[in-house]
Amino acid sequence: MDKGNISRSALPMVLLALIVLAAGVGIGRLVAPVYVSETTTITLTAVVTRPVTEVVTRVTATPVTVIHERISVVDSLGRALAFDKPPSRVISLAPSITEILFALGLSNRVIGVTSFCNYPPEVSKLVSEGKISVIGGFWNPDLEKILAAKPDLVIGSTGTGPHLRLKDQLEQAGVNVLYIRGSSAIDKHEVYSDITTVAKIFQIEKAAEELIARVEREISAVEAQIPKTGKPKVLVLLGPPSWGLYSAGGNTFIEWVLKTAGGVNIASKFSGWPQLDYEFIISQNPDVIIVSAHGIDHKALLKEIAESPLAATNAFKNGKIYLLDQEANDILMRPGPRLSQAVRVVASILYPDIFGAVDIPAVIKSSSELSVSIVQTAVRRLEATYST
Amino acid sequence: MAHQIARATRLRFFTLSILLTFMLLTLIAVSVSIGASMIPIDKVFLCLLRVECDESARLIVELRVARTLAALLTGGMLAVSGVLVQGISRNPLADPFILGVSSTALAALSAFLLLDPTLIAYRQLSILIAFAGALLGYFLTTSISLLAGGTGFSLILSGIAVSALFSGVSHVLLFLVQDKLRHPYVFLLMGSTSRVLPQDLVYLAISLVLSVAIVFAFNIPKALNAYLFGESYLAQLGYRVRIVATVSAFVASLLAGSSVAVVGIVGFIGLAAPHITRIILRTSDHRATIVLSLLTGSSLAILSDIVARLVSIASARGEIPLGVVTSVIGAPFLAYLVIKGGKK
Repeated sequence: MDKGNISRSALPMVLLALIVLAAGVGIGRLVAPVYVSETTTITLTAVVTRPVTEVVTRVTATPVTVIHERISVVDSLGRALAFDKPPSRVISLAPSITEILFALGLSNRVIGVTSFCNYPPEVSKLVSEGKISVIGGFWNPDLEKILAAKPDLVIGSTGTGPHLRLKDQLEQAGVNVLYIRGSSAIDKHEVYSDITTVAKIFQIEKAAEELIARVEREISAVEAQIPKTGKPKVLVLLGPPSWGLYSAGGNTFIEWVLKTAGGVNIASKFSGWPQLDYEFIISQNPDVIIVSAHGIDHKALLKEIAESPLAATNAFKNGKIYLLDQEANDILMRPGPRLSQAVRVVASILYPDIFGAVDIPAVIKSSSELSVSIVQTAVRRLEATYST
Repeated sequence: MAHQIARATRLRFFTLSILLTFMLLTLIAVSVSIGASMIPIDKVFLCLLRVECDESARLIVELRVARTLAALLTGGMLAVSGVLVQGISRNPLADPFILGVSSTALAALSAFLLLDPTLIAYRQLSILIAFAGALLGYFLTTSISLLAGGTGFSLILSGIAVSALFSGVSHVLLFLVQDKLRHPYVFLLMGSTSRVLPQDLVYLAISLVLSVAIVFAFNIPKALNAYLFGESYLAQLGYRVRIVATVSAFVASLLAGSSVAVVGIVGFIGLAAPHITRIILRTSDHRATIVLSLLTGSSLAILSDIVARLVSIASARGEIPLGVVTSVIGAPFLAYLVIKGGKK
């Protein structure tokens, strides 16, 4: 009986404590945001994004006579970096960055790349000759390997968490780190600004201008041929459906590539790399499905799609499922100088009548009977224009 | 006096069962009517009742039903699994994954992915591999525990050892898989019903039926009631501690393992649902809590799944993993538990 009395009298106490706690938390919430909103990083990045590109373009426009003392750039995190002379030992943390460096003709200054870097073919050759060391993967660069290579500049991508986490350690070790947009780029202008930023450090703005002009020319050549109406709805899947139905949202470079190549991204209302569900995909009913399927058996993947609810989409019914493997996958997934090729690949997927069949190896198209026909035509027509 | 209390408890059990069933049915109805495609609700129900149904609506309704049932079964299974684990360990903070099943499932899946990345394209096969991994985890935990005496306490400690070892191993393996499959691996096995297919439900249903049969065949609820008063009391009533602990752990692993294999790791339901059940029932009688926790767990899971879908419809973020939503809903409850525990 005593126990009952105690618990009965304790109950109001507990309730009171809870109310006080809740009130405390409530008041805390009310007070806290005022403080937080002033220091929030979101406003900071919003402020920063525009000026970066402006600063870069304005500086490149100035006459060369002034630039002799120090080279200074602002990176995509809004940090200012200064160099006495162009760096000569550079490490790239992403395949797209490696492509930018090589396209700018800086191959003799690159001393480290990731295990994912395989383009241009020169990279693999230099790696096997031991002239360039591999400093880890794209998601897991190895700090010790980076430091052991004694770089004077490391270039990473703002869109990749592990790269950002390296910042403090590298700075502490006295290594300059430059961040470019990389995988967080949202359109061609940001990719161009990445190229310009890198070029500025090496004082080769001229090469950057030429590279950008060429990419731009290639893109507009495709753009000019895209029909204005009847644009197909496209679903991009990153990995097979069972990996989790991940797609590219509205603020990604993949969205930009799809849009430029005359497609409508069904996931464009999302941001970043969202996970979709089958119901959303079916209700949107994409006309074309492009799956990034690196290293996965094509037949098995097509079979999985055929047995999944994706079989109800127009894309499947009309045999318009495209699996991108190897080079084709790299081209679409890397926001670098091959951006124009990405546009071209997607345009030929969406409008084969205008652009001809896709002529990049490892684009696998499903036929409606599910028999896999690997498209292998005379390859590398696009690449011919790219040789430096 | 005791008689009166028993009668009051029984009455409460029946009223609560009816109330919770009613709530669950309401939640199922809500869950079936919400989805990204925004098809009118009356059309959904006409389709469900097979009055009239066009092809596209039929497919969408089928997917929604599959999602809802997956959430329902996972929630119920994890809750029952939680009741059993908390019962044998006599520890209110134990949850189904403490037996190591989730980390061994992940390790098995990642080991096979390393051998052949294409495995990810075979959903049925990867479900079976994850399930086999979960059972392997159970056997490992049980063998270590039996070597240590086979009590509930040793079971929990060996479970912690196994899950620590294999969560490390699985992450090492997944790190290596990255070079073959260039997709962020962190979300592998993060619980989500968004990719569940109707045919996957069979696995969940089979293991649930099997588990319920084993639980009642071995009279586990009564044994766990006795175990609350200690091992000697359990032995006096003619039960063998080892058998009760091993069978309960097996059923708990079977339930948690199959839910991990099909839906992924969903946290907090296994911990929170048994507590909610005990508090609203005002008893720890396992005969009642096992049955009722099925209902509370299912309700919690469906509610979380509805929230996850609403967030994806209303915001620009896409699907949130189910385990994250259950934690957000479950965490305030843990705080309540801590306060209540501190008072004692």
